[in-house]
Amino acid sequence: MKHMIFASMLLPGAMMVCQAATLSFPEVPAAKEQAAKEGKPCLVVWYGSDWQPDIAAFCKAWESIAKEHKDSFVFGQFNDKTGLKTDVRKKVLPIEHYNIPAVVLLAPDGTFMAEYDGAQVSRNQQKLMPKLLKLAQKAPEFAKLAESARQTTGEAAATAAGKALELLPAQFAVRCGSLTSVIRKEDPDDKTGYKALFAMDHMAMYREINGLLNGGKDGKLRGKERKFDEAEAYVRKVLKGKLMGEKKYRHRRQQWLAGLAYVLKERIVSTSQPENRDTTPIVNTYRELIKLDPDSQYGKGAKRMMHYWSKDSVTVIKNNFYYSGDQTLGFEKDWRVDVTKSIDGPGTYTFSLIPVDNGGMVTRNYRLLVNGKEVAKADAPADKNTKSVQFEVPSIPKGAKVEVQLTARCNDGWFGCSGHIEMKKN
Amino acid sequence: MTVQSVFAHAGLLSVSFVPMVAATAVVAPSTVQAAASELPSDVHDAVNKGDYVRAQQELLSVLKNKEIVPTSSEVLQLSMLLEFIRTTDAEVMTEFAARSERHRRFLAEFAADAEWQELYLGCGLVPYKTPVGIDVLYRIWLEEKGKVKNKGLAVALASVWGGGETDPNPPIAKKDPSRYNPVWRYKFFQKNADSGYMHPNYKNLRPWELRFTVGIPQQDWDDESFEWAFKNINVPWDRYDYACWAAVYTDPSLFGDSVQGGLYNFPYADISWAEATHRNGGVCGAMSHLGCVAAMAHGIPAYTVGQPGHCAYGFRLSRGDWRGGFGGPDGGMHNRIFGNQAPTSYLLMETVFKDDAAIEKAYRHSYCAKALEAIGDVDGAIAMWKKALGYAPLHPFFRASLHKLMKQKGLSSDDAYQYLCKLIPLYKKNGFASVNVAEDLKDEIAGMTDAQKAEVYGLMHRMIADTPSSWAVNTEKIMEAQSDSLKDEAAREKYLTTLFATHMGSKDATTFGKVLEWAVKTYVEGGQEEVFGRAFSKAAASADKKVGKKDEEQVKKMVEVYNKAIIATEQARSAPAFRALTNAATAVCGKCPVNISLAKASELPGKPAEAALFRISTTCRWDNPAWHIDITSPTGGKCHTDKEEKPSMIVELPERKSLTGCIIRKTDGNESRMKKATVYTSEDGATWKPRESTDNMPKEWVVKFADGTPGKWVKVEFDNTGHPDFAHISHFVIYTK
Repeated sequence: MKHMIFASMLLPGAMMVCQAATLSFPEVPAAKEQAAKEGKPCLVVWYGSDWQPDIAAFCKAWESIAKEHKDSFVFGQFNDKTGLKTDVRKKVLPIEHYNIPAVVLLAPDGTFMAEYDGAQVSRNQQKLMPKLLKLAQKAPEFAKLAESARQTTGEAAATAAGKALELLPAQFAVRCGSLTSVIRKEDPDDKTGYKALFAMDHMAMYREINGLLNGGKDGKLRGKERKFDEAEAYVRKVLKGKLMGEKKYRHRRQQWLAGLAYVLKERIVSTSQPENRDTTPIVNTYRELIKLDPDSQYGKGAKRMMHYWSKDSVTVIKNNFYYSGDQTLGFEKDWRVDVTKSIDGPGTYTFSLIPVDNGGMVTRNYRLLVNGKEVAKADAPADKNTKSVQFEVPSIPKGAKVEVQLTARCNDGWFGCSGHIEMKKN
Repeated sequence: MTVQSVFAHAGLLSVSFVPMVAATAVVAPSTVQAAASELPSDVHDAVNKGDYVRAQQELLSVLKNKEIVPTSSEVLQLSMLLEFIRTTDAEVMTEFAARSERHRRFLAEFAADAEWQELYLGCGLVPYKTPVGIDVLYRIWLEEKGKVKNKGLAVALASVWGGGETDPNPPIAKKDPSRYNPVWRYKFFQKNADSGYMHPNYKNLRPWELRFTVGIPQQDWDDESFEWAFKNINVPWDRYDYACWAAVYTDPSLFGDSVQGGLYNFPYADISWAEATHRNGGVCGAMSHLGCVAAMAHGIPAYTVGQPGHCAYGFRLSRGDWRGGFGGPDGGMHNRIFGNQAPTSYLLMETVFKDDAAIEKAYRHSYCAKALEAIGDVDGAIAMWKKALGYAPLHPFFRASLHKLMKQKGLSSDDAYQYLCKLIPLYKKNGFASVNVAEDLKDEIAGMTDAQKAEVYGLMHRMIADTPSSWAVNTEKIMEAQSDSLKDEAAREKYLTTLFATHMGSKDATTFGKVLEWAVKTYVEGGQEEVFGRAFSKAAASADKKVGKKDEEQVKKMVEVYNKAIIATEQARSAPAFRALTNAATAVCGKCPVNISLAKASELPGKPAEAALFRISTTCRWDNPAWHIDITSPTGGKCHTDKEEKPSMIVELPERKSLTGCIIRKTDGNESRMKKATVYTSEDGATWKPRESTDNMPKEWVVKFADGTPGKWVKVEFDNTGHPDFAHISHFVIYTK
């Protein structure tokens, strides 16, 4: 069918009748067959005709794109309608995705190459098509290498699979299960370097690292007895891999730097007391990780991890509520609480922490800061663990920021320390 | 006539700031025909001054001189206001009104807004003796500048934030108020209601249903999680059971930390829980919450549940159609109206609120009943509660109110018996709820005769047998308490027979399995095998032909239950029950497919004996209890013990006979097992005489007994001392003269 089909459909459960549009593209099996025959990549539009908003406009836009790019792709469709079971979908399109609509690019041989979702698929297709066209140009070579990976064995197979994956953006390369499995199977010792690069997600990486730390696959070493040097050497070797240093693979490098930080952390935590810890190597590793891309998944998480392990970092408490997600476990860190809004002229003020979950929290050494400078100390001794102190607040210049700084430590590992904060004039 | 029209001409809104009553998303059908009248001046004055203690007194004075019936708009209005004050508490309201002029004004408007009050009081859980509910409404009212567009949504938020009498004080104080903000959620749902990304049923949801879309602050995720899930998880409506997998199931985290430690969530603790889980992964707790919030963010009612060592969730696309995600929907519901036990809680909720018009009438009668109670007219209140329950017979809160008054009037055990005999049959498909509701009358039940109790319990079990059950329902506790309450042993045995007979033929095999397990534990393991056997025989005699055509899942379930039951009868040594259940089981799972002739059958004199019972020392997942009896036939059957040091099988004959020998044949495969073996015979089933032993049992072992060996039982025992192993045979045929 060339034109859109409008049909009245009954939504199960919803009991309402609506008009639905569908695409005229062939279903996935037929599209894949045609792509193989024509040696073109297959672009599958994954959508839901009976539940997706603006479905008519969506179909119209993709029909138009298909017309325009018919020479570059064989267009296919997967209409993920209500009532279609997951296992049925998996048979036709064995890819997991949870934000539909999406598009999936398959090589002429059906191997996964890329997928996109979000506004670029539903509304701004003009932003998406150049990326897809660029990948489409690589599709024949990709398919050829993929075929070679399947036809050979050992390092040759892993190399062919790795070369194929090099043609893809890294985030898609790691999702190409049919080729990453070839690498894992044919090159278990990672002689090619592709296993660490493409075929080990964070879970596989930590399995490998923990195996080395514990003294082998079934190793029983625990605590400070573990083999930190072996694990560190392994991760550093991976990080020295030629491709791992390339900008294209910076996100993969970030994963392995997180692995390195983990080994360093395990060593430091297992072999020293909190007060004697030199956390510089951990912090430096996170710094290197963040530098590669501060806004990536790992980059964002590493910022908080760096803050956690830095001796001189201060936790800023917002909204007069402190919660477990901000706490250090088993060692002290300073908090800074903005109390500007609570100041109503000079006088005696009571600053209180009102725990919801105390988690053995120790809080002491309360100070009053104005524009970042300490102007007063609380009435309690600095080493006294207390939840409530009094300050003599001097006259504050207009527009100045007033904060209370204190030293805190949480002793509960599971959401243990949270509560409200109050600053009241007596 | 709609609620708005009923109260539209009430002329009640004489406070200084009068919002327009905009079209509300939720509109209940109404039956009140008369127009509402103004609030009496003294009540009006007290409300306007924010003095709700006085308002309550004035309301009582006025109502004492009225005929309290819900068909009068004026009386209904006054009764609702009285109920609102009673529930929230007059002093709490007075204190709230005193907070500021705006607080006073809002509360006066709300007190005069019958439509909004009705939605609030009919939401399932009404915040009880707390200002939290009215504070949520106040904040939304402020946000909307006095013109609240979606009052149903507002009361749903007030309800989940404020809890109710049976679910008091949700620990919202434990949450960061900047991340759990009811006003934010109100705006979120209002903003997205017309986006096309909300389920088509969303706009039809009543406040009690909206409770399950807005999330409970003490358990469900933060505001930003709704926003994130709304934008980033979009799947077909019926696939929200799968939405939890939008995150990776992982332990450790991206940074190597275990979920058991404090650092697992730390790297992403400054972003929404949903996004953090998507980035960092999670285990069952996080993933269930992700699936749940994804559904809720798209206007689909959902809840999370706690299960032993696991977390899961449920979601609902249409009324009554709760589905599970990640192993749900059963377990301990975090968001709930009528108790936390799923499925009992949601089944009851769906039944009670099923009919919008009926539940509205029920609630209107309930306000009048409460008013009658408040003015001291107990008889009138009882009559009114009965009317309310006529519209919503299973409403547990209404029923509890009625029971309280009935007890106050001196309910005797005989009266309670008569009452329960009429009440319980109403709990069809809600059988477990009938047990819960009878808890109110436990003292009266305790005073009944055994015969009366047996009848009441029998009725309950008839309802339970017709109710979907689950592993999550504690049936054992029910049976334990009921059985213990019976004074006479014969009554307890009769109760056991009733349990078997009632549940044996039930569609849902889960309860039958639980009955058997409890009965075996209580009677067989308690040394009362005979009681078990007699009760089972009586029940089984009438049940073995009842199984009709079932679907595949049903057959599987039934076979599982029958297998359990057969093992139980073996342990109980109940030959008649064993026979009856075996016949019933084979009607479901089919005849035994084994058909192997014994090669050495001619070596024994005599003829194969028909057995009464076959017993196996233990069972396992490879066992086929339905085909145990076939082991004793020349064509063979199937049995499989668990790993044991001394697994054994016993054949019991119908009567003592002169035995000539037996043939025991191993099943095909794993023949290296079962090497050391001994055959025994017995005349009393307790004293065993060894007849022959072997250290290397052949595939087909022929044991000849001395001429004239008497016996009713023959046992084979394998010796795996030091290395527990399985035992599995296809034949254990006894030959007699």
